[in-house]
Amino acid sequence: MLEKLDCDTAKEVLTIISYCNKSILNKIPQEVYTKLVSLSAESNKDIYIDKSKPLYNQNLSEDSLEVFSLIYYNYVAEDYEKNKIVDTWVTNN
Amino acid sequence: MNYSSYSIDQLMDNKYYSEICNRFLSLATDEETQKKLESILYKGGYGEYSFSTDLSNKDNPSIELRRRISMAYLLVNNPATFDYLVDNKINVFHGTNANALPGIIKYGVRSAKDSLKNGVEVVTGEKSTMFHTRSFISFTDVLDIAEDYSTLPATRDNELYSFEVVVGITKSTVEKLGHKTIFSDVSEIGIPTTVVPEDISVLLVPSDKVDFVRKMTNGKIKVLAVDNINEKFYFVDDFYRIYFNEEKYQSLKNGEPKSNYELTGVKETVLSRTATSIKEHLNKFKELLQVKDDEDVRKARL
Repeated sequence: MLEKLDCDTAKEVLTIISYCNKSILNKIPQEVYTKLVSLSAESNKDIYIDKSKPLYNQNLSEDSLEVFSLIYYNYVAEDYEKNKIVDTWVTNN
Repeated sequence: MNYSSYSIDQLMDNKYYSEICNRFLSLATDEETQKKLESILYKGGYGEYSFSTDLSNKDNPSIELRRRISMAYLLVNNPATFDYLVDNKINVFHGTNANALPGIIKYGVRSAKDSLKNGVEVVTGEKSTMFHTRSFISFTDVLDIAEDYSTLPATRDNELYSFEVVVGITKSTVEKLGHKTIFSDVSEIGIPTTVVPEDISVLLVPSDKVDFVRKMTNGKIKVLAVDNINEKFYFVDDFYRIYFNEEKYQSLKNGEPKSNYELTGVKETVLSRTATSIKEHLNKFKELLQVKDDEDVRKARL
């Protein structure tokens, strides 16, 4: 497992965010975008979204889905949602 | 003002031009738009803004025709963007897709050769030919052509998508950076050096991506909307014959809303994680935030 956030993962996370609705976009702080752009700029990867598939079936790395989920939990989820998310993560173990 | 060396009579030699002019004019919903369309289609410019730059070594009435109808299309879809281009004399364009955006925002638009020199694999339009890399960046003063390049799929699979991006700069920027003569089928302008973010006048993206790209640029580069690049009611072939798609024309005429694509399954994806995998990725997340202490994460008992 990589300890550092690599540029390909950053680019995938940025791509996921770009296709989320406005309510998600607006809750993520500017610093997160700035850092993701800076890292993504070093990526050589081509990333495409298949419009016919949901996020969990996209050709994206597990790393990017995990990091995106943390962003979602930390910035997007309402307080009541956070408890449900954590309980689900623990149950999924 | 004389915007173009080509008269309307020369353009009207193309038997389709009269029809496309009439179609555009019938889309005008007010007098001001009508006036703008007439200036675009019959004169090749508006105000102090000429669409033709005289920078390319390839020009003829057919290219001028395409120049004008692409600006007319922009006006009817995104009038605010058209006005901004006019006011800021932006008439040189480069088409690419969202994969290039982080690099453009951080470093600017780079040639394939420059990119490879810096260890960056070229992922978008400026791909090398089989035998040699391009040492210049291709721009054009025909918006239609730049838009065509922004929609080129990098794979053969048409289900895959990366949203369109058009980079806009001014003629004076091109003159400052210098440009090469390109022998091309289209009106192409070659810039032999990186176009840094400070020299980019505008990024044009679909309107549902404007807010996102503005967050990406953080105010560094102006971002405006360009819509329906893939929904044009006209198609100009290599012989400058113009074909019309009636369904798309009616959609435009009826002002049908632009469709916004959103990823589905977002919440399900978040809920499918496990506590173990989330813990393993906490360091990456903290690096993203450059935080040492995440109160929320601690609260979650992770």
